[in-house]
Amino acid sequence: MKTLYTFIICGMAMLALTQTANGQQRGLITVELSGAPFKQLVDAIESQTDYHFYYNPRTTDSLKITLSAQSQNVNAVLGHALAGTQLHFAVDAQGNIFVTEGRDIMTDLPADFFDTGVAPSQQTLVSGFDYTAYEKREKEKKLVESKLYAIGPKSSNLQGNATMAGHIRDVTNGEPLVGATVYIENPLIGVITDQFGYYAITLPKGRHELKIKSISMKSTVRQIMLYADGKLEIELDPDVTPLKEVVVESDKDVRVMGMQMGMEKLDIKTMKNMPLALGETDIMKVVLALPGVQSVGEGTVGLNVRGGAANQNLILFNDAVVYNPSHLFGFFSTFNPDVLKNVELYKSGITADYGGRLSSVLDVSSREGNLKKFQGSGGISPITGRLTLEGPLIKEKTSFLIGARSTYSDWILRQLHNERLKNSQASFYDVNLNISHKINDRNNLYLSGYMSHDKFKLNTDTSYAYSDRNASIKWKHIFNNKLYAVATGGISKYSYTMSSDLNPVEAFDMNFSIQQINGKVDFSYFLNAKHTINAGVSVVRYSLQPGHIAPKGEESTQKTMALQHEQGQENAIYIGDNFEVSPKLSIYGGVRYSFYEYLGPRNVYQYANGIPRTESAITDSLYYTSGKSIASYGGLEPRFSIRYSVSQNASVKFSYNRMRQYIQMLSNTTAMTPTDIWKLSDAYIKPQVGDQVSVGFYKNTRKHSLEISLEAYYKTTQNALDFKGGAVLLLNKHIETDVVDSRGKAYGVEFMLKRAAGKLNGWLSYTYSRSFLQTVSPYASEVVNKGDYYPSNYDKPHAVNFVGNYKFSRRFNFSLNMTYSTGRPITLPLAKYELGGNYRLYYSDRNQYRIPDYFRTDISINIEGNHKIKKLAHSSWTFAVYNLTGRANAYSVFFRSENGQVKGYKLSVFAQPIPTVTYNFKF
Amino acid sequence: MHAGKPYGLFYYTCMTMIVSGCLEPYAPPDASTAVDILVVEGFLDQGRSSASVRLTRAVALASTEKPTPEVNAKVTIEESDGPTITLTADTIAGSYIANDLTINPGKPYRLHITTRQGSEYLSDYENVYHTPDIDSVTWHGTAAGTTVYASTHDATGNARYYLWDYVETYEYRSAYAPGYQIQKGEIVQLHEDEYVNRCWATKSATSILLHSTKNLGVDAMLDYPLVFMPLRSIKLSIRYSILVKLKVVSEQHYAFWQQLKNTTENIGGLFDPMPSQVVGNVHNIRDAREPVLGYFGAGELREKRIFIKHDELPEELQRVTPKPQGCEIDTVLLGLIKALPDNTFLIYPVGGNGPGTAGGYTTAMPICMDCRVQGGVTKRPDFWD
Repeated sequence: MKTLYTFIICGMAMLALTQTANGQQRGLITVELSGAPFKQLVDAIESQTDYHFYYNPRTTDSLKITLSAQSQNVNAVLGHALAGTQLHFAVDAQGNIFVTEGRDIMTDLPADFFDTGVAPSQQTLVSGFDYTAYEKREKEKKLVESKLYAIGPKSSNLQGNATMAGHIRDVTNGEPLVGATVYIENPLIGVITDQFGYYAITLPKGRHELKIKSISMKSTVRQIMLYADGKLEIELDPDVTPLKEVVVESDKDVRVMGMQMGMEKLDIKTMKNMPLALGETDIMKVVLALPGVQSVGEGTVGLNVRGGAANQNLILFNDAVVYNPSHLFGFFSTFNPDVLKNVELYKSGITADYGGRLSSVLDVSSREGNLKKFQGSGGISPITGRLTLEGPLIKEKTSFLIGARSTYSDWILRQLHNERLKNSQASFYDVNLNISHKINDRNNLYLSGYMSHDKFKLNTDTSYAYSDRNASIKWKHIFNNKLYAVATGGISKYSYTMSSDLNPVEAFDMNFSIQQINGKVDFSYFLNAKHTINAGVSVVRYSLQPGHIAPKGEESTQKTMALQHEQGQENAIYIGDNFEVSPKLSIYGGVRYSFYEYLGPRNVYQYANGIPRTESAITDSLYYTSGKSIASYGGLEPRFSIRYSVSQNASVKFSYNRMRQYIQMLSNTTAMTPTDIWKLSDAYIKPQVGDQVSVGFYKNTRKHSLEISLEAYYKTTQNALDFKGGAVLLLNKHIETDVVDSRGKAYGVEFMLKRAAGKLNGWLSYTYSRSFLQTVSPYASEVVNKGDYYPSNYDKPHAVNFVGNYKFSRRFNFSLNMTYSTGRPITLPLAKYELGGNYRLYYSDRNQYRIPDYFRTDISINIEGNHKIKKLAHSSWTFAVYNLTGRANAYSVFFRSENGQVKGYKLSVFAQPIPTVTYNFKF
Repeated sequence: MHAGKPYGLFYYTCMTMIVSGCLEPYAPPDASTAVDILVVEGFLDQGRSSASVRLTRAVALASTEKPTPEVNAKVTIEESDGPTITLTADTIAGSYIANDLTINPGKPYRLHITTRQGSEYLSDYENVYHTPDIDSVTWHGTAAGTTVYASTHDATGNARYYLWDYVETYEYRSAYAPGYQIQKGEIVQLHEDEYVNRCWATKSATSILLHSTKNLGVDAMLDYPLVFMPLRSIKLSIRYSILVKLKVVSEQHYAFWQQLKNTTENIGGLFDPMPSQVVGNVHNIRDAREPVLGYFGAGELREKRIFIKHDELPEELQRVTPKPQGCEIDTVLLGLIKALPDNTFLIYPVGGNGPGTAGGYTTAMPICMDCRVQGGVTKRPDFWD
């Protein structure tokens, strides 16, 4: 900021000086030039007079001067020479000539003008002038937009193409902007920045106007003269001006023009506008408002994407896998909104660089710390408090970001008068740390650490605790404009413990943990304007401690038991090519080959052939030594997408992808629970394989203000797991006796109407989708529903979502969110019978009935403090009401025999409107 | 590990209450559709040298009728490579019994049923399990209430799967002791044997109590909690008795009850196991797909009875059981008494004009005067001394 001041002060000084000096004569000039560079004119003038030029060669290097002057003064010569260009000149009393671009020296000078060595002289002259930071930035913006940037070493050969690359960053904090569009209009060529804010665009050599747009940032342009491959770093201003109306430009063209289909991208600003349930922006809840994404019930975090199970989603936080993204049973997600940058959800057309889960990829990225100054933010809601600090460690080079969040629900519980609740405990916290370091222009290093922890005890004597921890390191190296590589290493660990002291004789501690270490090297190669190639290798090493139980206290007679540890390794190699056949047609083709081995040491039970696998069918056990392969699986995973533009505003897309999953969650409950166990594929449990085809139609209307999309998909799953009735999953030494092989199919249509810009924005979506499972077993005792297809737990055929925001003013924002979906399937009792002196229930076939439909309306109002840039802290208030209509949506329906009678109950979680007030601050 | 609890997370419900959750009654859509499924409850008791089998049919969920007994069936129990025991119909419809049997504990047995309609059912072979004695049945009072516990152990270490059951009997009084009744329009003074203010109620266990020591180092169970009675519970208002029953069963038999418990008691929460059809060990020999409910087991039944008197309770638990709601005494003038329905009880006469006369009678709601309304009988049980 200081440098900027200096520039402005100098500018003022010059202004004062040139006022008097302009027009003085120091000799006449005779010159004859034809298509000569500006330098030649300067040399001519400097040799014939004692004027001295100050100018930036970059602003003038594309200028060709054709001029004929006979004994003219300098004003006339320069006036003639620069007529019709963006250049201006001024002459001062000392005979200095300043040549500036884009604007008259009356207002300002180019920033790098002073690089040539003129020091600011008379600062006193400018007292009384003060520019706000905003005005200064506006000036700078005008400057850089009018300046001509020469890319690559100057040459006269302007034949062919060249690639320019660089980063797009936020000027205020140096943070890279992901998904910013960089394009030229004639011919229409554009690219989008990647996760590092990096872009590489191949253009015909020559003069272009490069346009840059990014959501909630001010659009800007750069004048470029492209000679050869080169670099251009671009900084954008955030769109926080107190002006009346600024249209927010976003990735409007992406849906139609982009290659990707079945992808939803949300940035934190969009998410913060949505109404919130418990006073906190929750990315998982926002994702749930997207078409094709469902959950089994309120207060559960497991996502069911396009009819897939909750464990089939690859949830990445800065490239490290997150196993349980929920706090407090899913009332909160473990992602602290203050540290997030954006979330990308891939439902189909998943590229070859992702693998390991069937249904979707949820890629969550956190921000990088501010490279320029220290700042903090935080918030207080009825249940949680959070604080984030960030700033440079080495200015412009290294930054940090640390965020922490915790709840005071323990304290709230203690205030309650209800005995049962008083004895309960529930607490959680999460911590994030990011460090990014720019080694040099070609190398960047990113470190990320994350930890979440939950502990609860709900009026029972059993307490639970679980924790998700991960760390990743990422090194980005730019070989040249066309090739860069990212090497990532990470470790993720999920563990839980359960302990009970209900009966001292049986008190126990039980724990489970899963750990994965992964490494990946990914290359991006911009072969030419038509081909972008992405290739890499990845290795994941899993180690599981599937269960260990031990006595607690001296009285306990609990036997110590530990299940054998599990090890596995998943290797993959992939390559993909984005081929722009013509502006109308582009194709992505990729293939991933994954290979998995289940490794010793392990004792593996052998079962008799031809009879159902049960404990009594065990014939032998085989011991495999450490590192020995027990079972191995592998195969190709083709990925393919095609886009054809029907017109400039409409396109059709098709995609096919196959995914393989080598680790699965075992759960016979409806929702994901913290104590669900994960299991590696082994000799008996085969990896799941999923195939999906999808087609889509996309259209933008009225200057891109309305986006319409329609997507349909069909997918199948092989080797999905189901469980025999009454299966015991915890601490089971031979889990293969309790699982049944099954297959799944799902299909659906998603319609979405979105308005991304304007005072009123938001989306409306409708989804029709079905999801079925079928058990595959030759034995009648193992099949569910007689071996027929039956609806999965998350089969909700109709879903309608509406998310709307209305900006009354810059400070006042109103949001409305409405959700409707068919009730989830359940198994209902059909009859009652008497056994053991009480009524018991006879249940229907699995999932033949449904709970009542779900409908909810939420509203929220955001009130921002004043928008003065200079103040101690910026604050905002959010008032929200969750479930405005107070509809008692069924969370579950269940039956119990009570005092000899069978009673049915409907349980709802948020049966009343839940108002919350949140105070957020930023300093 | 305590059966099912840690995994069940049933108390999830409580957590949801913090955020204003609510529970409403729910009637399923097909509650009155009739079904026809045979229910078998059979046990071969080596200890008593007897066998009993009860056959009923399941009824529609909303039905208020008792399950229909399956009468006139041919019921036998077959010893593997041995003789066949024939059961005969008991006085209770649908019950079949056999006594004075010679049971070979080393042999497995199975149940064979042929219904009136000719459907034939067989159970799997079941081993005869030895049940150890119930070591003790104790109780303990805390400020919140009284808990009854049972303990057992098996020195051989082979038992491992325990099925508990109990029958409670308790004496209680109605809020008022009526001395008169309107019979055929006349006020009649009750005889001592017609008094309806002192009752004995008998209740069987409402939840399935089972326990496995499979994961414990010692095959013993100390103080397994059976019943909890809160402070001021009517059960402990005068005198309480509990007959505790214990059976050791096979792993499959145990799993059957565990599943039944899971599907009727521990369900509904999203974190509870999904309900499933609980199929026992009896099958139609011609149609394996026909659902048959219930289980046939073999073994021994052990029993132990204890009594708890109100005045044995700790001082802080000796509290009066509150009257049922609305139990206020009402006075009805003589002229209006005729308008009361027949069999109405009256407590005592008031406002008399000299001995033997009455201006009216006091009365109250039936639940306040007739203890039978609360489920008991006025006949004192045989074991109540």
